[in-house]
Amino acid sequence: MVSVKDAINILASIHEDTTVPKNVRSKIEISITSLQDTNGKSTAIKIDQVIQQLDELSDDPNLEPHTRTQIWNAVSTLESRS
Amino acid sequence: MGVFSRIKNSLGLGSSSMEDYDDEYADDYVEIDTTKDIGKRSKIVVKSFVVGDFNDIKDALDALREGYTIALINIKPLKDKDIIELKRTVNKIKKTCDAIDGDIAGVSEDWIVVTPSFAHIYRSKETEEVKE
Repeated sequence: MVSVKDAINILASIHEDTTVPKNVRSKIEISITSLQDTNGKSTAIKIDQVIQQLDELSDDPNLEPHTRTQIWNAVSTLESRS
Repeated sequence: MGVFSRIKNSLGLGSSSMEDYDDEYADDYVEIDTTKDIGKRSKIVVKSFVVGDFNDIKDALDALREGYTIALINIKPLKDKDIIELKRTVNKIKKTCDAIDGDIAGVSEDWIVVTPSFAHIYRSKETEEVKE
């Protein structure tokens, strides 16, 4: 059973990768923060929102192919959770 | 004193009759300001969206996630353009609808209604289940 933590770990590894463009890393950070946020919205809504953010992010033409694959992995993990 | 004034006085509508009332009755009403904007005070918003492209759905989904918007989505432009893209879009809307625990229904060939968790859509013969 995969959890949100697995997706956060994948996103954290992208965030730590210095070869990833700065704008992408900042958006990844926002996604991690919204997943970790315990106040307000329910987990399902947060996951849905982050999936949409990552989906948009994966269209970025400046992304390295392996980073795009990592983002898809995170999306896949979150979708199986939702 | 003119004829009209005398008639008014005899009917009790003359200017002197108003003076008979106390001041507390004269001021006992509230004037409603009809020009005042109440947009921000109303909690629930019913908003229409037109979807001509897959990316156009973002605004509707963001509004739905906030939890105060009932979305009326016109899918006709996308239906005329690309039916595969329409299926993808409707699938996306349904996923978000599941996440917010809301309700979704098609009210005609071209319109979809999506509500947050506080409302449900009454289903009649005219209302269709939305299929992917």
